[in-house]
Amino acid sequence: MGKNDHLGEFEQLALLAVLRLGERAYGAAIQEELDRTAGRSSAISSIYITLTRLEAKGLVRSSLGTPPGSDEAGAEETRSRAGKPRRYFAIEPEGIEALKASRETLLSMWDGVEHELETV
Amino acid sequence: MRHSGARLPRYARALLSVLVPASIRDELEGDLTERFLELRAGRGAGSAHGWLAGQLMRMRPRALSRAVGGGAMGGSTEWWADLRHALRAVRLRIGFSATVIVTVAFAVGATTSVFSVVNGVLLRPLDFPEPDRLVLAWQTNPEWADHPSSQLRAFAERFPLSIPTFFDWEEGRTGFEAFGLQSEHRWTLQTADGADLVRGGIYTSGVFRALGVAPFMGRYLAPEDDREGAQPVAVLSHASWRDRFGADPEIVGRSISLDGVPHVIVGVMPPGFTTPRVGGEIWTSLVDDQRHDRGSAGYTVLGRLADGATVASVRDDLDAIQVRLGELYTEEQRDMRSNTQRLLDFMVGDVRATLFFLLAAVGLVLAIACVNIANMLSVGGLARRREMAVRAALGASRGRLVRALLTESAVLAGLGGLGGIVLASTTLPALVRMLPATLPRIDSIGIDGTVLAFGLFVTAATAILVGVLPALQVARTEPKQMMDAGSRGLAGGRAGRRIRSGLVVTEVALAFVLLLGASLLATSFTRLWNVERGFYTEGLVAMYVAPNPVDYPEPDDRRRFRAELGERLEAIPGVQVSRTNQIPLTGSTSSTTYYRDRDGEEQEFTVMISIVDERYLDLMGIALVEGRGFDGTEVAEGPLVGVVNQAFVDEVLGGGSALGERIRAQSDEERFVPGAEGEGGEVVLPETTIIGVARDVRHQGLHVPTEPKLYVPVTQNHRAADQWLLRVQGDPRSVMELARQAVTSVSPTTPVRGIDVVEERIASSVAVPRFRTIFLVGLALMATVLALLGVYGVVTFAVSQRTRELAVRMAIGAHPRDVVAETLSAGLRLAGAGVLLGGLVALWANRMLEQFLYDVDPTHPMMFVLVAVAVGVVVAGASWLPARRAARVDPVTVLNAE
Repeated sequence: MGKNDHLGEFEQLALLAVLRLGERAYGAAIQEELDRTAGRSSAISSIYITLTRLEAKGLVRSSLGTPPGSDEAGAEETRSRAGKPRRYFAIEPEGIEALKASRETLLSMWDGVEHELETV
Repeated sequence: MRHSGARLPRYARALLSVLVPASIRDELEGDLTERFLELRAGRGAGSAHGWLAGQLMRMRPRALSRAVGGGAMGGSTEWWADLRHALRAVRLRIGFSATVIVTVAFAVGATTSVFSVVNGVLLRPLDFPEPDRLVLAWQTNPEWADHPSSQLRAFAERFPLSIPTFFDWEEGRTGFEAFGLQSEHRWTLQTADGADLVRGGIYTSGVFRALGVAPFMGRYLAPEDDREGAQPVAVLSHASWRDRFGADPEIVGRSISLDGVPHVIVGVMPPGFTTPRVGGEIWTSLVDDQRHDRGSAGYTVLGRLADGATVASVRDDLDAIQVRLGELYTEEQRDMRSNTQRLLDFMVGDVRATLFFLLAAVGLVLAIACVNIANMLSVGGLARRREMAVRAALGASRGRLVRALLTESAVLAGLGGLGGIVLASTTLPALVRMLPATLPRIDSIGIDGTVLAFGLFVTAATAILVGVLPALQVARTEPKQMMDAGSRGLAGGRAGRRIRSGLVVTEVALAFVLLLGASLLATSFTRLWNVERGFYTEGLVAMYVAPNPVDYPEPDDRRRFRAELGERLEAIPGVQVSRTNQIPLTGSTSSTTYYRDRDGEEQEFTVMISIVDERYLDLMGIALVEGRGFDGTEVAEGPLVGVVNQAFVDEVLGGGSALGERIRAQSDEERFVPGAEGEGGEVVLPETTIIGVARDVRHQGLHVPTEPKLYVPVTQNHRAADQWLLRVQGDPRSVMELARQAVTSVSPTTPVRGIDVVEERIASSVAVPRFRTIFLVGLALMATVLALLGVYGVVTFAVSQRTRELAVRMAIGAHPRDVVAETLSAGLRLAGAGVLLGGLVALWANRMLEQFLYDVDPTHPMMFVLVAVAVGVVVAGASWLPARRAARVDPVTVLNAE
């Protein structure tokens, strides 16, 4: 990752959602997770646009049908999706690195100002 | 595990296939499906669809295809961008957009509603296989077309057949695949606990074969049922079988008693089936008593055309038979021909003109609404010329801007149109309840594919009509001019003003046409309703009771029944009672040919016969002009007496006094009985002496001029007079139940065949004109409001454009009064032009109205003037507010702002 490749806010959120969901990280689940945890009502297209772009950069990988790296077929087949396949996303080490870097950046920027916020 | 609802709605799938690159479409659709189904289960369909629409709106196809590396998605992404942009523009100007959408929704909704009535009544095929091949046939007598008797005139085109004539037709017919006889009928059905009135018809088997609907159970009528002496049989409607016979699975073969005659039930027809024109619940085979009577004509023919035959070709065939019959039976069949008509055409004949008229009227309102919206969009576009200028400066081509504007008006019209279709489908039941109950095929009115297609078509037409003008304004403006975002520029110039004024003139003209039409119809209806009827209807109740033929087989029995019933009815406190064979304005008429001597020659004329008891004229409030009425002393054996009406005196006698005039029901030839040879003969049948003249009473309809009428006493006429009239003090409804009880107390097996408040029956006889009038008045009011808004908008805008000029003029001494006068006169000039144009259009359009008018001249100048003044007042009102605002312009403020 080059120096200028900062993660955007939505990229961070999407990556974190993938990380949190682990093996169950596919479109609808990611959308739900963003909904629930981040309080964001996101568009499914934005999730695909973002994660596909990150995949091109090598931060995530994806595969159709089964969670990447698992042998189990379709973890929760009880949820109906009209027979359409799922695209599962998994985070790559580069993705973890990028997240860490973003977190570092943010934390160093936050350092020393939290107190200011408390008093305002 | 799959069920039909477990996928995305079709519209969403269609959109996805356009918006999402194929490489990720499946999984994305799967994700949407999953959450959509969850939401639908958890929070209901409404919120799920709302969520889905939001997801689709935010699809961003270009970014998606860039992200997956699939390259550009072609043209589809550009219109998607236009659409998104348009939706944003709609949201940003929510007040303006809502006004446009609501206007379109009302106009499209009204048009679609009316169309759904037209579709259900006129356009939808009948519920029979190949319904276009079903035809009705009658006899005709062209000579009757100009007959003084309205009854014979009505028969001139369609005269019912007798049973023998039908069998002659049946024998000689060609061109029909199946062919049968039908007649409406009512019977008294014996039931376990008394008797009930049932409606239905008498048929030959060919009608059922022609209709081509298989029975639900058992069979329908068969050729052997048509033969003389055959066991009478009956076929039941599904509803009758279910409600009256408890859906008895063993019903076929059971016997029921209709008017005392046992009929064997042979079958039950499927649900929803009914016989055309006749309907009811029981359909029986022919009864024998009229089988050889050529004089009893009460039947219509219904047939199915054979391949290659047409309505006209079978008429020619039947005419050829009629010519032969005319030679064989000179008395009954002389001059008779035949007439055929497609079943659907006959059923809807009377209302076709009315419905198309209403559709045209609602189309006018739609046109006004379109004009109005076009104007609003045009003015609205002005407010956005800066935005357009910026987009042009950023490199948007004129084509692109035009398309963006077109998309915007399409979005507005589309949303409005959808709203209109929803409005139409939700308000349709209420509209159907408002329709006159006499409207044919009222049950087949509904929203079907045709109606939806029509609604969408109207919406599309609206979108184009309202979108073209603002788009043209942009198309005709040079980009450089757009940049000039000063007080003129885009559509603010003279051309734009001219176009908008033209639109308002059109709008006023259309509103004028509708208002004039509504005024004419309203005047006509008021005159019709208030026409001098010649009798009082207040507190009048009519009841029809025919004594059950099983219990009262002989004339003497029936006389006893009537006398007893009369006594029971009179015993009801506060009720006066009378009896006749036909009540004016309630549908039935009975005419007869009479004769008299005039200057030594025999004069033949047609009179309507009213058989009445001695209380009738008094109870009805029919005043005597001359002589006296009946007093109860008229007996069957005594000299025959009669009372005539004024029309009789004028038309038959040619004026003068009628008292003592003698008329007879037979010609001298018939009355003359030859004597023994060489001794001459004598006239034996008696004459009727006229003892009084009564005032004219409207009988066949409020709009039909009175015809010559003869009142004869019930005691001197053998025909049944079973229409009872009750005059009640106070609410007529209060005695209806008591009257029913009186009938039951005399004969539990005799059903009341009908009981109504006379005033209501008369009202229902004019239900169609009333509906037409109310409907057009409503539309005209809608049109007026739209025109008012249009004028207001244009004048307001003109004032706002001229604020600076007005400020300067007032600053150098112009009086506010002059400004008001000037603004008002600008509005009135538009109105004047509109009225002029509307007047010309109305002169032409009112010809369409003529057939609906009673006693009103559609070109009456006074009407034009009154409506023109009304339009002028409305327009002046609409211009007044902006004019006052113009006069209050403060020169200092305005000029400082510049």
